[in-house]
Amino acid sequence: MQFRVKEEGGTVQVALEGQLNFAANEDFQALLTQLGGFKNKTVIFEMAGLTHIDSVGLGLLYIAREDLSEVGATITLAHPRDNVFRMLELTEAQKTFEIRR
Amino acid sequence: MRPPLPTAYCSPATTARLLLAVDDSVSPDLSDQCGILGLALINADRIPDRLEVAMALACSGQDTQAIRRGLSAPFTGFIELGPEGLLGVGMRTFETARAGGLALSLLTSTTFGVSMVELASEAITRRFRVTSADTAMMIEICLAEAIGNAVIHGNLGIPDHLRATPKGFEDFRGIMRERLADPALAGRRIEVNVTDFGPDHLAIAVSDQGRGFDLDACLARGINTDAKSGRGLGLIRKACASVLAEDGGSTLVMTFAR
Repeated sequence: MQFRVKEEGGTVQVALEGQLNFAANEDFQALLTQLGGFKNKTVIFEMAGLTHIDSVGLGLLYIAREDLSEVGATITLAHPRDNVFRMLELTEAQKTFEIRR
Repeated sequence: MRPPLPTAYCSPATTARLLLAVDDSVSPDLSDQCGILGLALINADRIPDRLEVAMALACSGQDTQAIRRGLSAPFTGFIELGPEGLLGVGMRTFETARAGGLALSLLTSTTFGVSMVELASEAITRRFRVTSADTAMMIEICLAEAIGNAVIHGNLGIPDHLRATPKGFEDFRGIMRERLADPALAGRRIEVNVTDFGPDHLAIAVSDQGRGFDLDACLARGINTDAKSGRGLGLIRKACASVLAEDGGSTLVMTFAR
């Protein structure tokens, strides 16, 4: 997984690319460390570049949500591809995250 | 309506021959292993136009192109050669390739460097003529969950509950790094074997070389919507036609309507 972080006003855009899966733990930790500095922001995970997610990857998003809520930030998931959206749907992720298609 | 849960995986017939195509020069050890396993060796650069027997491709290293080649006709599978050649490759893999199914055997360390899920699901969709986009998506989702479980819990033996807290996540990453650095664990295999399952279904078996698990007990456990781990098997049950465990829980067999 690769990521790019860009701050614009009160919003932080995180563009994810590649696969968010069991092999992405170290990259995701690097992302969490970078995001820890953004207090009281809306963090948008731009998922259009994400080719694939598994439940370990989804678990990482839940960890990010918990981490960011401690600094007053909220998460939105944006523009997942069909296969990624289907996985989010099957796991009822929309009950926890705002998902923009 | 879902088809009835199969009570046993239909292992393919094992009477036909299997050729093993190799790119590299053949070591005496590999030659001996092939002799014991009843495999005939062939040079991967000199494949005849017409073949009467099934053929798998074998090579070492993390080579996405070679894996893709092995998962495409005329091959019926790709087997990664480990430091000790074919040692550890499951009999199911040879049987599947020999019977004209689709077999893939990779070392655990390799699953971190190549996209086993994407390579396998693309090949399955093509080889088994999966025309429904939704079925193809479900196959990919289930393969991802089964392979992830096989790597983390099966071959690396890392418990799930660690990812429940940020501190646990740190421990989880530490244990994963440590176990991947252990050649014995990193060299365990993850295998995907695909065959027809009756006229309308296909069966995908994902095997690891860990201790196995109790599928029924795991499925019986509920999961909170916002849990950070433990979703995989429930997701598989939702997304495929049926699921069962074999080999003491180290193989998960999932069926899908085509």
